[in-house]
Amino acid sequence: MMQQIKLTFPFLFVACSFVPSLFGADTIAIRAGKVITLAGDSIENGIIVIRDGKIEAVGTDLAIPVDAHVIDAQKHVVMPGYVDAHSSEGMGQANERNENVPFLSVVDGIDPSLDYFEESLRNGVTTVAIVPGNNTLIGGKAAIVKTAGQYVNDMLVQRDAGMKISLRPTSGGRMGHMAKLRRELDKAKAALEKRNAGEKPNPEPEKQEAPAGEGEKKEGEKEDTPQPEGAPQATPPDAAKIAQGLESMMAVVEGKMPVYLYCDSAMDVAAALKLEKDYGLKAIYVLGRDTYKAASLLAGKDQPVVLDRNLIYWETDPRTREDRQIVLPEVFRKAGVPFVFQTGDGSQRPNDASSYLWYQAAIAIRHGVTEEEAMRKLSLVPAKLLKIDDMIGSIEPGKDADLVILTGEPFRITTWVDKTLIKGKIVYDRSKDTKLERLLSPAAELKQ
Amino acid sequence: MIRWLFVIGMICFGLLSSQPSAAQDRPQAFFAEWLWPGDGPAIQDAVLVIHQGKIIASGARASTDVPIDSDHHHLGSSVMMPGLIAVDTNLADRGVPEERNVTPENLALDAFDFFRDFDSLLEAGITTVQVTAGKSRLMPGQGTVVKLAGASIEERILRETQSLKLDLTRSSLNAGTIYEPPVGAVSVDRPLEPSRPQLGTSLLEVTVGLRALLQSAKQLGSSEDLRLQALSQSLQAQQAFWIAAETESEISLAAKLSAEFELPWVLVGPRDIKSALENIDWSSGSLQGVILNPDVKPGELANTPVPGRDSPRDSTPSQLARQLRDASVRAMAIQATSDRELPQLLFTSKVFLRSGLTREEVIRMLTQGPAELIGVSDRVGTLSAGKDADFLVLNGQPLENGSKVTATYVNGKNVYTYETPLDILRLDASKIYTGSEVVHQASISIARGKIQGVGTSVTVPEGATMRSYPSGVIVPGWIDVGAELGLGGPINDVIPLDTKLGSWLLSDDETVQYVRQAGITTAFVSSNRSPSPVLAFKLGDSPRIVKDPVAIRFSLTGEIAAAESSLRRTLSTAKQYVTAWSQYESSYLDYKKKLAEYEASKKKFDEAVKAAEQKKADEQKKAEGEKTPKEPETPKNAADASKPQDAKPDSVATASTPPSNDVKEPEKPKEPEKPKEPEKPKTNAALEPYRPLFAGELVAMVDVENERLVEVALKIFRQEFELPTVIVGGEAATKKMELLRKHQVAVVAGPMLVQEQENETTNVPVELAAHSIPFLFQSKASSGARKLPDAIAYSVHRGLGVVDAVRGLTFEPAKQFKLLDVGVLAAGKDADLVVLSGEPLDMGTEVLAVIIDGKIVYERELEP
Repeated sequence: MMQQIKLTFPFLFVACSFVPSLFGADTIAIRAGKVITLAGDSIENGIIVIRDGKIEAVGTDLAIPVDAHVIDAQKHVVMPGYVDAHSSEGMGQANERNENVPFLSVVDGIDPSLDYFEESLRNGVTTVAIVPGNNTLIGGKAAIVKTAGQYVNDMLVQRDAGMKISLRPTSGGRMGHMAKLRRELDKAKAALEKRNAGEKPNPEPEKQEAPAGEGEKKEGEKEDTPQPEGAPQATPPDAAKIAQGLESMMAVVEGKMPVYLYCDSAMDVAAALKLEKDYGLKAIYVLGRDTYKAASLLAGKDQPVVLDRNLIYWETDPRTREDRQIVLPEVFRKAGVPFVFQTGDGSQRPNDASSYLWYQAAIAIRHGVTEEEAMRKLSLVPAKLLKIDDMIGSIEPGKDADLVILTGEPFRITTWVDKTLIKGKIVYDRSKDTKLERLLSPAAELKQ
Repeated sequence: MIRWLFVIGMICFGLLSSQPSAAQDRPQAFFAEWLWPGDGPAIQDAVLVIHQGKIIASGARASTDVPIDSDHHHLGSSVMMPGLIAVDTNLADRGVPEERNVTPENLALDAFDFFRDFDSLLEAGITTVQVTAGKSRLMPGQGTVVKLAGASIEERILRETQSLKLDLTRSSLNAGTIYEPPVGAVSVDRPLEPSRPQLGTSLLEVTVGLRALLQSAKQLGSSEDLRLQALSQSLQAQQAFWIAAETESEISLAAKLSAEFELPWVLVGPRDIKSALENIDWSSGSLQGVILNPDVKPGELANTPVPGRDSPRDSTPSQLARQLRDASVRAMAIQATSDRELPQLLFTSKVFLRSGLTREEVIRMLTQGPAELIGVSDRVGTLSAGKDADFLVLNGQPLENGSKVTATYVNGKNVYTYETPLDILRLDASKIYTGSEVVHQASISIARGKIQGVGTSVTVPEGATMRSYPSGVIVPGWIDVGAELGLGGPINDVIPLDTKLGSWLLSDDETVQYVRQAGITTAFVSSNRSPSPVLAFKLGDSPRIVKDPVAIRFSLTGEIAAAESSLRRTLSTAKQYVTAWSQYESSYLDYKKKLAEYEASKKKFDEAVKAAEQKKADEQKKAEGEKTPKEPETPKNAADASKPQDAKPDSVATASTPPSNDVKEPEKPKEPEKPKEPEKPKTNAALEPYRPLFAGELVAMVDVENERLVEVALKIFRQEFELPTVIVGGEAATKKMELLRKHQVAVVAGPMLVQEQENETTNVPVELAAHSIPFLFQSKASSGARKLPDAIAYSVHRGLGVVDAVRGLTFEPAKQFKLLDVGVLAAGKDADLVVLSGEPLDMGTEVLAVIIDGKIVYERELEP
């Protein structure tokens, strides 16, 4: 892992504006009617002991520590918090105007006060990979964040979690787009070869900074520094800026920084596979809906792809004028391509049901994915894809206590998220969700 | 350099296409009438053997070794040729047009969508395309060569980067807004750059610019500039420059540049070469070939500028082609007029036949020529051993009207098959017996079960299946007026006369399918017991009723007097019944007429009565006093009046006296009398069929055993009851010729046509023909009906005229039994016909095909 910032400050309260923090206790125990651990069988009438934000123990016959605050969820179901593997929300805007900006990082754009985070907690999403939007060529660096926190640094799980590269042509044609991308990658490759050969690359200051050390350095940084001022030395600042981007691109071609490769159409998938092969990229495939025609090319990949938000749509045959329904989870499942879901479309927040991760999983269940697998696709599978499954993704001792307490079995229409916990803190409580209350009792509001 | 390793994808595709894997393991041999190898004249009676996507042998059948274990595909009169190669296509999805004028780093391959549906091009026979990186730009990028179908992307790419395009035509010189977009963030130090000209817009400026560009690229080792680097690589690799140049000056510049920088080049789309013809070394040197634009837009009419009298005339594309051929250009290829015309590549290429290029040369310009120009002649372009099995099957000679690609194969896999609409056919034969005449070297076209046209020149409906029988003869489908078919066997029971035998017909009857192979398309069936209804039906897969009943069959057998009286009795009863009905019908008509009259007068009468009453009431009211306001009255009156609007004034005038008159009792009109409906006779189902018989709509078929009975039959049916009659029993009839002729009665001959008894031979049809008595044929058999044409063939052998015999099997039965849609080959008639290998009704002739209602129900299998 390149960077992992573990926020283990017990004193730092996760204070979402709409949920007052309830407990100050370091130790929490949840009595759950059912625990879906995703690390083995589900546990009926289980107990989860959380200490210092981490899961300490899960089981049936556990002694509840005396100092523990007990959350009674005996009629409820507890699941790991959901993970969204690709989202371009939580920022003021998804993309910069320019299409080749590898030096940017979403961290500078994340606004914790956005409704998006509130809505995420309400729907059980506790971890999101925030990635620059699809309307770009090299769009900048992604970050993995928890959905609760007052400042970005409180939320960060991993800075520079990947580079966004989109194969959808922006300005100019497809050929120019690809030619530009190859040029950037070639440049990075050449710089990397130079460095490996012992030569000093042009950007002097960056050279010493090993990728592993990069994270630590950035951790120490203050906010509001869009680009770490890596140029105290003699090199002019302009060169340093370029170098910043080049350094990231070098990490990309070195296979150290994953690439969120957005493929808009089927032909992009072919091109992406070729790029992955030619440049040794570590690609996370983010697929547009039309890519389903190339599903067979992706068959056999161990790593899941991120499906388009529109899991079901209609397509008209240009020749026969026949309409037919395309069900992405079905197509990819039959092609043998593992997949996870996303709720955004790369730029705007949709208003329909597909903006809920659990809804996407429910659609998949309807089209042949087992309920068990769908649950895994909500947390453990995306956690593995993001390589953070050592921290989150399942309910196991040692992992972050990011939990969703549901009022019933998942994927049922009558089931609500009752509470959401991040690192053992209740960050959402339905009984205190005044917005939801108002939404659901319009009569009460009318009376006032 | 770049390896497309879609191993996984290939495995997947492999799995998908694994069904015919067993067949794919064996060589596949395709036999066809003609084979165009792509680089030479057509080979007749050819075979093409492919194995695992490659051609392993091709040539004339006699001289080609076909592996013993190969699967055979007989394509009949079809023609095989290599898959077409389209060059300089714009099939790459370029999104928005490139902003820059010089982008040698752009690769067409990047924008070629392998997932796009290319069915319409595969239908047109195009299997390989050269894709250009763009047009309307000076140097849009590097082209690629791909196949339009294939198991995997890797397999479909023939050449990743094939050529560098250079467009010197006006369209690129005057390209739209061109600017360099800024790279990186826009800030104070990196302001948005204004658009700037890249190169001049005149040929002269471009020349200077290009020269500088090529010069620097040539001297360059490596460069930060992507464009120069790409260009330099291209120069080093001796990649061909595809130079689009239309006019003389553009072509000269192209030639100059290529000479200066030692560029191997291909001239694309010249329109006018004139003096360049002498100045350029066409046959050797760096020019690899020329790509010609047919400049034909199928079906489009457009106004073009009329060349002035003094202005030098541009050569037409076909003239250009000939000039270039005469200058021995190394290779020529044909491009589509534009991408829209790609599916019509074969048609538009015909323009090159105009000034004397041979068909072989034009085909070469679509196959071997382009293959050489794009550097893939080791893979595609010709049908010779070792090449990819990319070939087409056409239903006629390429570049000939009406010929169509019926199947396209890429790498030995069928990627397109024309779904033959079997109901649209065109048949060519050396001779057609239409029923009324004989036409030589004629065609017949069929659509939706009906004949559309017969003659020496017929209009062919689009998508017609073509069958050519150069020595074949087409006759109308034979009609057997007495068979035992379609009902599962002979009927030997008395059946009610109103039985609809059509409802007894069996589908998919094997006997029917067997019999129709002899050309019998319509058969009559009835019970063997008299009287019986007769059904006429077609011998299609699901039998179709032609007429039910078409006749009533009587048989006269046994003792003459008894037979005669019984028949007379039957017919008398029938006649009585028919007369009762016809009387009723006429009196009913009468009654109807009277009823209408009555109703009219009744209406008049009613109105008159009403008017009188009204008047009476009015008068009463008047008498009571005039106090009542008139307002409510008027609408009422109006309403009353409005009903019999036009009748009223009339009735008032006739039926009632003027209103001022004080007569109390107006003249009472006489009430009309209602006519009486005639009594309907009782319906007798068993006698019902006699009504059309007596009305002349049906025919009485009378079986006669001997000559005496012929007399009886004629006496009763013709003299006494005046029914349309056909005598069944040829041998008996031959003895009463004069009588038959007098009554103008046709005779059904068969099953025995030639009787040989004690050295005396009676050839029944010949006898009948000699006496001008129309005759028909019956088989009186089930599967034996298949032998009917052979039996007649013997008759013909022994002297019967062929035309007479054909007539007896086709036109005559249709005429005698008033079947309007069969028996004749003419526009609008049912498409029932038989294709024969030679003269009809000849033992030496075999049936090649049988068509019933436009459907080929039998086709002789072609022997290898």
